[in-house]
Order: sequence, then C-alpha cells, then structure tokens
Amino acid sequence: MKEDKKGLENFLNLHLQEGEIPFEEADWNAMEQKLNEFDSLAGVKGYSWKDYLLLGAGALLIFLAGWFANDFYPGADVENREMLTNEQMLQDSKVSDPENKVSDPDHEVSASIRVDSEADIKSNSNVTSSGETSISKNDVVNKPIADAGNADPSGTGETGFIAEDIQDGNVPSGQVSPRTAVPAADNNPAPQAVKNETARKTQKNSNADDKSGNRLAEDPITTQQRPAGENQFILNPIEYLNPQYSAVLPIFEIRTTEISNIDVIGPKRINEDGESVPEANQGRWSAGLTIAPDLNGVGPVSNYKLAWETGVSAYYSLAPHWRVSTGIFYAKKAYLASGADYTPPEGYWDYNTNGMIPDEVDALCGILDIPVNITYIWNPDSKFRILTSTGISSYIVLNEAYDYYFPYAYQDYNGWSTDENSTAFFGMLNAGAGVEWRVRDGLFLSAEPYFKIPLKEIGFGNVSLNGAALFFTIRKQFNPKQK
Amino acid sequence: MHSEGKQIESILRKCRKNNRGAQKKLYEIYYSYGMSICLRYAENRQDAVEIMNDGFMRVFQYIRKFNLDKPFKPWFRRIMINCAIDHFKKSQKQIETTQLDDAGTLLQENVLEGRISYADMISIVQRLPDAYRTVFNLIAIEGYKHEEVAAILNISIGTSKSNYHRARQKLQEYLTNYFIRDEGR
Repeated sequence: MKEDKKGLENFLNLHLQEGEIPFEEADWNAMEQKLNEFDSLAGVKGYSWKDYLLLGAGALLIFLAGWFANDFYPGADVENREMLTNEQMLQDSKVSDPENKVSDPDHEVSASIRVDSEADIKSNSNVTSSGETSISKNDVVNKPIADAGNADPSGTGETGFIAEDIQDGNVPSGQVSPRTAVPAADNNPAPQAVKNETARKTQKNSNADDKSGNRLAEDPITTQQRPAGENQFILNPIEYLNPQYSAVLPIFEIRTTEISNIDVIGPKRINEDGESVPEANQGRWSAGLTIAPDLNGVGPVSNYKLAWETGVSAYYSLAPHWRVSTGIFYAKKAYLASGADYTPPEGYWDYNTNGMIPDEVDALCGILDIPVNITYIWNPDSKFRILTSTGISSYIVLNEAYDYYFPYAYQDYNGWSTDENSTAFFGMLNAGAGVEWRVRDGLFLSAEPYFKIPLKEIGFGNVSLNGAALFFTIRKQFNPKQK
Repeated sequence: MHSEGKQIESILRKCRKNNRGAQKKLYEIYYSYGMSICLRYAENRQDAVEIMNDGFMRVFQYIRKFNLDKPFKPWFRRIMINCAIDHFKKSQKQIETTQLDDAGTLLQENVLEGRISYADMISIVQRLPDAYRTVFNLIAIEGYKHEEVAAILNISIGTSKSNYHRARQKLQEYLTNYFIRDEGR
C-alpha cells in the first residue's frame, strides 16, 4: 500500500514537472494592465541616479542662467531698501554729493549736466562721424536739454548721428524754431527732468525722413561710454523749418559736455535711517546654509521622534517683500507609526507574517527634500525682519529601515531595510514663519519654525508623514552693495 | 550558467526600478515555469493565468526585498504557491470535509508504467475538486506535511489527511480510466 502511494506520487511528480508552455502575449497584456493600475494608484516611481543627475543638471542650469541674467541686467538691491519714485530720486540727487560720478554706465544717467562747451551744429559741417556718443537712451529720457542758442563750433567730439547727414549737406539751412528751443543750462548744474514721452517723441521724430528725402537724426540708443572728463556731445531736440514744405521738423542739436559731471539717478534707495544711498549692482541672488532639528511622526504626537536635517538653498528676491527659494536638504527622518498607519502593498503581511500586522513600526528613513518656497518679508527695511513662507517639497526617499513590533514575540519576521529609492514629487506642503537678522550688508541669520503637511504618502509603508522643524539659516547675498 | 545568472540579476535590478521592459523580460523567462505551477493548482488555464499574474505582481512589488545573492527561482516558486493558496482561500471559503475511509481502488500496475503527456496530466489534476487538488499539490508535489497544510489552509489535520486521501483515490480513478481508454484506441 505504501509502495503504491509512493508510486503514485513519483508518477505525478515525474509527469508534472515543468512543461514547455509557450508564452502568450495576451497574458502579458493582462499583466501590464495590472502593473499600470498599480503604478497609477501608488503614484510612486523609482528613479535611477541618472534621473537625479539630470535633475541636478537642470537645477544648475537654471541657477546659472539666473546668475548671468542678473549680471547682464543688473538689478537693484531689493533686499535692504525701498524703491523711490523718480521725483524722489531727483530730489535726492540735489542733496547728495554734487560731484556724483557715473557709477553704472549701463544703467544710470545724469540728473544734471554741466555744459562746458556747446556746439550748435544746425549747419555746421565740422562734426565727425565716427559713430560714438556718450548718451544712452536713458540719458535722453532723463537729462535736461541745453540751450540751443549757445553754439560752440570748436567741439571735436564724435557722434554717430546726424553728423554724416550734416556733412553730406543734406540738412537744409532752415531756421531754428524758437518755440522748441530749451533754456540754456548756463553751467548751472540744477537738474531739469524731461518727461519720458517727450523724449520718446523726440527720438521717434528724429528717425523720420523729411519729405525731401533728407535723413534726420538716428536713434541714439546704441551708445558707448566715454572716459570721464572728456568733452562729449549730447543731443538737443530742436526744430527747423523746411523751406520746401514750410513744415516745422525736429532735428537734434549736438552739444558737448563733460561726462564726469553727470549726476546719477539710478534706482536709488534709502536705508532704514532715511539716508539716500546711490545704487550699484546689488544682487537679487543669495545662498544659504541650513541646519534644523526635525520632528516627524505619523498619528499622535507621542509617535514623533527627533532627527536632523541640513541642506543648502538658493534665494532670489523678486521684490522688497517677496523672495523665492529652492534647495536641497538631507534629512534622517525617524518616526513611529502604528501598524494600521503603516500600509505596505497589498499582500505584504499575508506573505511575510501570515497576515499578522505589527502593533508598531519604528522607522528611520534617509530623505532628500527639494523644496520650492515663496517668502513674504513683512518689514524688509528692518534689521530684524519677520518672514512667512509657504511652498511645496518633493521627497526622494534614499533608504528605509523598519523594525516591526508584534503583539507577542514573532521571531520569523521583525523588519527589513532597503536602499532602493522612491520619489514623491510635490508630496509635502511647507508652511513656516520666523525672523531674520541682517548681521551686515549681505549677511543674514534666520530662525524659522516650519511645518510639513503631507500631500502624498511616502516610502514603502505609504505613510502620511507629518513634520515640524526649526530651520537655522545663514544666508549670504551675492554682490551686495558696500556702504 | 554564470552568464545566465548575471542576466537574471541585471533584469531584476532593472525591475527594481520599475523598468517595464525588464518586467516583461522576466515575465517571458519565467512564464513557463510559473504557469506549470499555477496550472496544477487552478481549475483551468484562465484561473492559472490569474494566479500567475498575481504572483508576478507580488514579485514586482517585493523585488526590492529580494536578496540578489540568493537564487531567484525558489523565491519565485514560493510566491506562486502562496498566490495559488490565496486564490484557493478566496474561491473556497469552506473546505469540504470528508471522512477518512479505506484506501479504495488500487492502481493497476500498468498505469504507473504508462506514458502520459504533460497537458493530459494537468487536465487530470485539474479535474480534482479545489480542496482535494490544493491539498494534494501541497503534500505530494511541494512536500508539505499535513500539519503544515492544516496551518496554511486553516483546516484541521484530519481534514487535510482526508482530502489528500480522496484526491489520491480520484487520481487513481482518472488515470486508470485514461489508460484504459488509451488502450482501447
């Protein structure tokens, strides 16, 4: 009987060995559908180091682009001081040092001009056409216009506009209209702002051709800066009467002036003491180093455990009150979760513990936190500022280690660990408020309590991980203005 | 063999990163093996595919847990069998309890010497009731003891023995009929 039994088992084993079952594509399609459904439900995807490298390279590229853009379009310092209106700036320029020099040739222009020599070139053919001038578009907008009547034919400066037309004899010897003549500066440095519209209109007209084909003044935007102290030409819009059509047409009058005496009216600011400080290329960018005690947990507060978080951030000031920031932080997040809150994939407990769920899970996870935050500064002029911030964080879970505590001793399975990665993009909402102390220009210290509210479940256990941290940050502003 | 192991390891590593191409490759490689296990436990091919796909799903979910230094096949087999058991538990809430009786029909000698194709053997096993088939597979093929089967299927040891005994009887009957019919052709 026993041999008969053995014989049957042997027979079945022999004939039930692995058969050659051909692969069916339809079965894989069903499998793939299941996988897709699972992925879409889990919302967590593993990423390779190449993905992180790509992410880092992208972030670096954006950072460098911002850096160069900042250099190319020098911004005003919006960290320390308030912007003033043009009128206030002009007033400031009156009371400030009369010997103000041009400090930023790309950006700032004179509020007042001391005319050393003047050249009325209505019909003067002595002007050269080397194509250079000291006046930029902003100059035309802001500078006062000198008297059209004080001609100085000895001016030897270079200019790129109207001079060649004049040399070619294209400009008819029309009469200068007294209606458009501007009172002379007469060596008086008092500023006289010209409205933008007037200047634009003048420039627009200056580009036009008259009906007889005479080419009038070129747009004086493309200009270069002269060495200080050299006599330069400046332009005055004047009008002449075209004898052919009896029309009053505008042309530019060229005058020389000493560029070293041009006052500056950049976007000036005042400090907290109300002092006007000439503006230079103060950066909007800054970088910070942060360390923070970090409290994390799932469920009741008693489950929270303390760990540490550290990282670097880049900041960009949008306006005196606003700035945005991003960075990368490494955090060791330790927490306790009840077995009910810890929800591994379906079937996990069936497979490992015959369905037994632990009372408690003790977790320690290494996480990269990549936040994008926006901060509102309530009092940007103060040395002690109050900040409120909000934003969103993406978590990359680098490693996970779990210890399981069962209701009674369960020797077979008491936890596991992995260094496989998973990602939860935009998985946490950040909210914080704090204070920042300006140690000196360009250097700041801040303390900012932060709360992290889960938007997604993270890690193998799919936990909704709450967090609270106190961020201590030292922040260095790039290229700050030296007082 | 060594390169084959390396290839599997490489595929498993990619599967850990949720690489769909690698998942398909693993599925293709272990399709035949997985089906051969699941067909023994399932009533028909459709059920077998369902069990196997559940098993592959667990493989892909827990692949991060798998120690790549250890052979993959036994781990895979264990998952497939566990899935088959789960499938049985879901479909068969109450295991039919039968009393242990006499051994019954004795196998004819020529039966165990006969030749039978894999497909026919599977179809004979699949004709067994779920409860008999599951217990028989676990004991006769996987090598479990009645105590273990009782714990796994949450049944009594007596029920396990009884179902196994009944399964043998049925199989003897089916096989005898199969070979008699075969001889008659």
